[in-house]
Amino acid sequence: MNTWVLINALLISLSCSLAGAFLVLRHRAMLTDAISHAVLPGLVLAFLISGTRNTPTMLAGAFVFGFICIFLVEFFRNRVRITDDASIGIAFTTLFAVGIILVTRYADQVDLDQECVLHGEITFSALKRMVLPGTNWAIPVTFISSFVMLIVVVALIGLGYHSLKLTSFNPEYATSIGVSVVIWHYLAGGLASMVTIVSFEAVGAILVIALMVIPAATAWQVSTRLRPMLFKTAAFALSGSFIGYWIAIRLNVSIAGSIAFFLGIQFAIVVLIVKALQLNHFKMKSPN
Amino acid sequence: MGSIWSYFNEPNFWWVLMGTAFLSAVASLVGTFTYLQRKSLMGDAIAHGILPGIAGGFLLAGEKNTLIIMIGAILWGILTVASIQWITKRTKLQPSSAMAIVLSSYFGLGMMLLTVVQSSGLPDASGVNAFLFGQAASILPEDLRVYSIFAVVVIVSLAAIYRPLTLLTFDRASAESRGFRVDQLDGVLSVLVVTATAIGIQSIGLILMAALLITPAAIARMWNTRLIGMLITSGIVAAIAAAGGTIISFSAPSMPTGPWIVVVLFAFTVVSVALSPHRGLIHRLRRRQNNQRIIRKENLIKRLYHHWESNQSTTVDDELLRESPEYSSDLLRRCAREGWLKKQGGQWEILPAGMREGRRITRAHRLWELYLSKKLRLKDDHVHPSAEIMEHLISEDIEEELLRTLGYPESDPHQRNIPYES
Repeated sequence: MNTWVLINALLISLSCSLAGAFLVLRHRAMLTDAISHAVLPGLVLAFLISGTRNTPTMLAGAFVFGFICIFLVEFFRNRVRITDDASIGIAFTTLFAVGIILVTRYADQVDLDQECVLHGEITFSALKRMVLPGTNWAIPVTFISSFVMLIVVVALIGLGYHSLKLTSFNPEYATSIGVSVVIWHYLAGGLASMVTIVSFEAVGAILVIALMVIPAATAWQVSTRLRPMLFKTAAFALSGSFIGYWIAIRLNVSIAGSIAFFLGIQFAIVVLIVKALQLNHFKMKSPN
Repeated sequence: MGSIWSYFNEPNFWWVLMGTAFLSAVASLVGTFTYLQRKSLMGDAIAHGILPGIAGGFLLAGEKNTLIIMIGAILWGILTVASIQWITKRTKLQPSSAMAIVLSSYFGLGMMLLTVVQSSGLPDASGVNAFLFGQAASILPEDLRVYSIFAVVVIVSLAAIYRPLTLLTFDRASAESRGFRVDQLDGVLSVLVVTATAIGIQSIGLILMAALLITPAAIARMWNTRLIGMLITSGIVAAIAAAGGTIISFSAPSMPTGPWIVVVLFAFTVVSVALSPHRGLIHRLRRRQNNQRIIRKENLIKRLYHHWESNQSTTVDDELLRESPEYSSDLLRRCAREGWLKKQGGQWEILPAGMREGRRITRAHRLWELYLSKKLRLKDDHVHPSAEIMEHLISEDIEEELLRTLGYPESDPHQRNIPYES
């Protein structure tokens, strides 16, 4: 059973880190923070209304509240001229607060609680299983959704690789040859939001940020080109998650917390090594 | 009902109510400066980042010792700020990425320590959850004493660096050139944000602490144009919101306080968005309505002036007027109130003031047409639409300027007379 939890953790960390790479390159890292908080009331309401916890329903609820969050931010910024970061701050703290109130109020009906919102419940992800048709393998349901998500992420990045790269690094040039910067900007953001929402249950609202941002930021320290950077992102995501998982099991502590922390430690070690060896040739230019 | 409100008679309730209101007000004062410096999300990063300090303080003390937990939170908060700065300085990552890295990995460490606390069997181990979302009802008078001492330190420090901090907030370059140690001031402000976050952990909880640093300041900005007014407003708003959250926490003990404080703050935001005197939606709606009304009045009197031009008559049939698109009985009444028109029987008479106004609008219209045609060389049949707008905008100064530029002309591009005051 523990093997399934580990596999699930590794799959989620791969999807998150790859989708997050383009956010880090575009300096939109804190966007995950806002999204992962803001969608909570959507998840709770979707559950309360439909009574089921299947992924599409929860996704729909989360997307509605993701849009409400974006609407609120734009409204505060453009109509009332509240500063940019404060608009984001007001919108997501309010929506998260509403989500927490709903979770507490309907704790007996929703099988989410405050703990789960923060930690996720990856430990239990292996419990619910389904038998694969035609075989007698019992596979955890979450494994299937994590696997599908990874395929979607890799496929989208593969298909849109060229445009994503152009619009991340040289938006002016992209515009001049007719690649829409705005559309790819939203696609990158949309991909990240989808991954955030799907991973929410497993790792919770705050630790998903670690998976999205830290492996990509680590890989960026030792990369000069995008393609190798993406492979290194995946590698750092796997190694950090594996170490984090292993230590969490040894010490019997929060798995998601441990993964987040050891991704951070891994980042710090890589930065220190790069500085110590003066690896100055790793200078991939920042998009701006 | 009686059972719900029974806590009003508990002395502890009033202490906690006043205490949380005071602590939240102090936090919002610090938040006002970070809001104005556009560092709002820094508060969010710090608030999440201090969790290891809280859980570590708890483990170190072996019980819920507020003073040790506070010190742990503040020290770890300073480490959080330092880590973010270290990453921003040492790597090519932007501050937002650095914040995301530090807040999530430290929060992860905090979560690990929290699971250790929960399985430790220490007394009050479950009480540590109160720090995540706030639990005002669990605050004891001795906790309040500790928080208040730190809050007073924050107020005194703010007062001590008020002038240089204000200068830094509004004009960084000038603060630098006057020899203030800008980086030291930044450091002091960061420590104040950390302390302000730490004093709120038990009432609002660290997850939503960012709201207390951001929202009162944003609300205050909608009502004030001066810093001192902003500080007072945000303090009051934060205090009321915290009091509201506390009352809810006492009525429903299973409910965390923090989310309710945030919801009360959001209600204040909505009211301010509607009613704010400079930026509010109602204010802007009314201003737009006023402008529209002025334009419609000016169009009507211009039409009447044209009637005089073609018929040399200052009276118009009400029946005839009804056919024009500008007609509205309300509008005519408003023009009459301006002293432009007078109704006599079924006839409207244009009074001298009305004639003057009609002449002014017509003159502005034709001058602008001439200007477009002569100076910008637009085709004569293209100048009318622009003049329809500009006639309402051309002030006395601009009119004077146009007259001088065009040499006090006699007629417009359509050979119509440009009317002057005799």
